[in-house]
Amino acid sequence: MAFDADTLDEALATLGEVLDSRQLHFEVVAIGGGALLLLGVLERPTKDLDIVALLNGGELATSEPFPEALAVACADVARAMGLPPGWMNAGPTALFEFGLPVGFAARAGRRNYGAGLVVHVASRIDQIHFKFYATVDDGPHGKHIQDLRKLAPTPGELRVAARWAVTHDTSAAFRDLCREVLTAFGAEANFDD
Amino acid sequence: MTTKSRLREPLIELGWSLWTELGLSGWGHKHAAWFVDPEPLIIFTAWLGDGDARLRDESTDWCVQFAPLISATRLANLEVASDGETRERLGDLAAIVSLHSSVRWSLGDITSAEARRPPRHFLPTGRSRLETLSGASRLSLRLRAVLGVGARAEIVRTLLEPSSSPLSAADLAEETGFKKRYLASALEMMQKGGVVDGERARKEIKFRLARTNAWRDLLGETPTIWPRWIHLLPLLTKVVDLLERCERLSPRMQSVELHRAAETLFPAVKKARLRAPAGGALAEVFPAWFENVAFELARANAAVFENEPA
Repeated sequence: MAFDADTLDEALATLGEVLDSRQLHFEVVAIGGGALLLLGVLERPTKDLDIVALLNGGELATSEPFPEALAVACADVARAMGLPPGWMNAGPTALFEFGLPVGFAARAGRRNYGAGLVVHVASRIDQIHFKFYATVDDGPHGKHIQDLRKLAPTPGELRVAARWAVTHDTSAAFRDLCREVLTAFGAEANFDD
Repeated sequence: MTTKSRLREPLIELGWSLWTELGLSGWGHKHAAWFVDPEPLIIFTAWLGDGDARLRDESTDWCVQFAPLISATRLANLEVASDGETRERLGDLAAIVSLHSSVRWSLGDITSAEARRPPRHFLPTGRSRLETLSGASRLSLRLRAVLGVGARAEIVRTLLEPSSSPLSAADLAEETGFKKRYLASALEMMQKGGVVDGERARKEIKFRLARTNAWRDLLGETPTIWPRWIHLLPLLTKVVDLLERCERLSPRMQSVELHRAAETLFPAVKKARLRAPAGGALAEVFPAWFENVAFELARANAAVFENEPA
């Protein structure tokens, strides 16, 4: 089953209610296609919601592995709604390990799902960072470039994203690919400060 | 009719019928051809609590009168899986039995028992009658009269069931509620005495009755329906507790809890040999499925069981 904005919202509302009923509270930080659906930027269905980190007492923490109680609640929601087991997953946790864009947490939008769940949705500019990085990795024919176009980044935003992307992959080849993506978007290929 | 009473009423009716089979003073007994298992029934009745005060009092009266026919060990072993409220009521029952007979049952949480209020006021009615132990539904009591109250009677009873294949001590522990070690020791003696035959199957020894027909001749009428009450009655209580809890939940939460329960309870449904839709399909029909099972059990319709004709 793939999510649209409504079904994703329903799944998160159910998860929030389940967590609340078990007197649990989690705050997760979402990026990727699912987060773009929540932001209303994307309309294409997505198969999951990528959680890049957890927020514990205001501090970002790794989401890999999910705390057991959260994993159990996700599985319960999946069973009830007929969702795939990994509908909410810690797939992109490596981004957190390598470092999120500066000011990421402060820019994220907060969505409350009852008392049990808060989803912090990465801001538009941070999504541009992640989608830029994914586009470089994915090539010019993948889904990420479409998502990046939907975000309508300015040349300046793309250069900032490129500067962040090369902190994750310092190879010269990756830097060259970044330039190609910038060029494809009509931005100046030189992104050094 | 409220959901609560709609769910519990057939179970109260079932309780009455099963108890009446055992000699309790009651009118509606429909399970004459069914095996009736006293210890799971005592625990089930404690779970029903004040749902029917007359059933509670008459079954207490039966326990006071016929406590020597009940296995305190088995009762204590089975009680462990009960919820706190049921255990509290069982502690109360044990206190009453102790007050009115020479039998001592160690039931209920000892810590809370010390702080517990005195048992509810109870006057024995003496209405229950057990002039004879004959009849299919009293097989359990009859075996206890022959073999004593303990593992041996339960081993013979379990192996007497026509559909029973040879069972290991571990299998028998699951079917009787006695500890495996205790059963293994009893089985060893029974094998030496020629009562059971054992055959090695991989690392286990599987046992069957040595002379089944001789046992049948000795015991007289045996049941035609052998419900696994030890699995079935706790399952019924769990499902009712679940469905009553779900009543207070939002539709979203109901769906989550029913799907979760359908998955976690499905092995118990299979152990109880109940017919049920497989996998996630059970969750979709859980309340209706359960209401049908409870209703049909109360009217002694064996078609709810997998091994009986629908």
